[in-house]
Amino acid sequence: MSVKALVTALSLLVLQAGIGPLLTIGNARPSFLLPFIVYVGMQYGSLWGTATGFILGLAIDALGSLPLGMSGFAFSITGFFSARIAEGAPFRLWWPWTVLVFLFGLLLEVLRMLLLARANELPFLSLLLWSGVPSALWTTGLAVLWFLSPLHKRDNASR
Amino acid sequence: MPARNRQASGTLEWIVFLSCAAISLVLLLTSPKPGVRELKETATDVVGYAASPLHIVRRLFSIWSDYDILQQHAVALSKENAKLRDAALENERLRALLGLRERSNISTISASVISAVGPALGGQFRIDMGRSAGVPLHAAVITPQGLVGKTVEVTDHTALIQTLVGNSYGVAVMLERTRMRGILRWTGPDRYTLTGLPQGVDIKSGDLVLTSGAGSVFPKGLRVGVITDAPSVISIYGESWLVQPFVDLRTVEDVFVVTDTGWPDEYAGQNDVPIGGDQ
Repeated sequence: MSVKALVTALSLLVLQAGIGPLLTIGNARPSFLLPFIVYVGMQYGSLWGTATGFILGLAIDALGSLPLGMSGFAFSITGFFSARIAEGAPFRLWWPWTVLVFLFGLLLEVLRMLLLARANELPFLSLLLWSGVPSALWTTGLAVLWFLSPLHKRDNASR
Repeated sequence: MPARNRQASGTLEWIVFLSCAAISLVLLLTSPKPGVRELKETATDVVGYAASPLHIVRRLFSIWSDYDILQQHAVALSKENAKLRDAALENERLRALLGLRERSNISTISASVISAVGPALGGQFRIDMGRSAGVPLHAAVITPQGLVGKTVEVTDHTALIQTLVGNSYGVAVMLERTRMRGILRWTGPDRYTLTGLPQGVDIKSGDLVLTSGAGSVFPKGLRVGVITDAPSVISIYGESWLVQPFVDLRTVEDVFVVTDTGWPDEYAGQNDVPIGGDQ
């Protein structure tokens, strides 16, 4: 993994902790980190994807109100399977990227809503519908921005 | 990459993934335990310190909404403040009225001003009490600060008060310190003149002017005003002094109408023996 990716990871972590809550629209809160982890998985392989997802997940759990390990678990899955699923996928096309981010965003939200529903005795499906799905869509919107940015560049020598 | 190496690499990836997932799950399940809580607190401190410069960014994002909220609060507080200030003034006024009622032995009826004729000068007021409430004609009207005027017209439910303004009458007054008597008159806007005093009388700036009780309208001892530090004017009628009244007639809201002075009316003549009459 390059220094640029490391710096990006730290910046996104700080951004997520710093202004993530401020970008909440209604019940939808975006994740800056998820598109990056998908990117790392696709760019550097499942080993790096898993490690990056695990570390960033733990870090964001430590900073936020979520139980430690929840995002670590979801991001580890994201990093690992994004590499596996996207292997051989047309990386420069927008749709595999967007679909992947949305699916993993949904996975993260399902886990989050499961915990939330269990801790507060709230209906899971309702939470998922009104908060989880909008959050995943918001994150996907950010992923599109990521896709259009210069950060989303294929480095053939890296894998 | 040879097939064997690729397989080893794939196995390593799975091991790393399963380890990470397992650790995450263990942490997730043991989150409420003290050790994990401490770890979380330490991590929060470390990353929170790194993220502290972002407070500026956060402030920039929230500054407009904060501004709106603060503006709404400011408007609400301003309204509340005005209401409280009104209540405080009313409270002060009513306390003063109550105090006056308690310390004087004269009988009064309290009333509120409902309209003011010529408010710029403070010439006449109409109050919300009249004949049915026991307000007599030519009765003294006072506030806790001092003399206001007298009733000049009484209807069933209202009464008209004429102040000194307009010079329709004078008030018999005396100086508290020297007991010297004179007449107080209105001689122009914000100008009240004490006349009828002999030349060279002992008067100092700040001397208190009270009603003398000479005349049947104003009871003795009501506060009227103080002698100002303006120089006296000497004329053929004697020396005159400017008086600053205690009551600002432009701000009068609640008044007392004196219905009974508590002393026998020396001018009533009810017990007088008729001259040349047989008794």
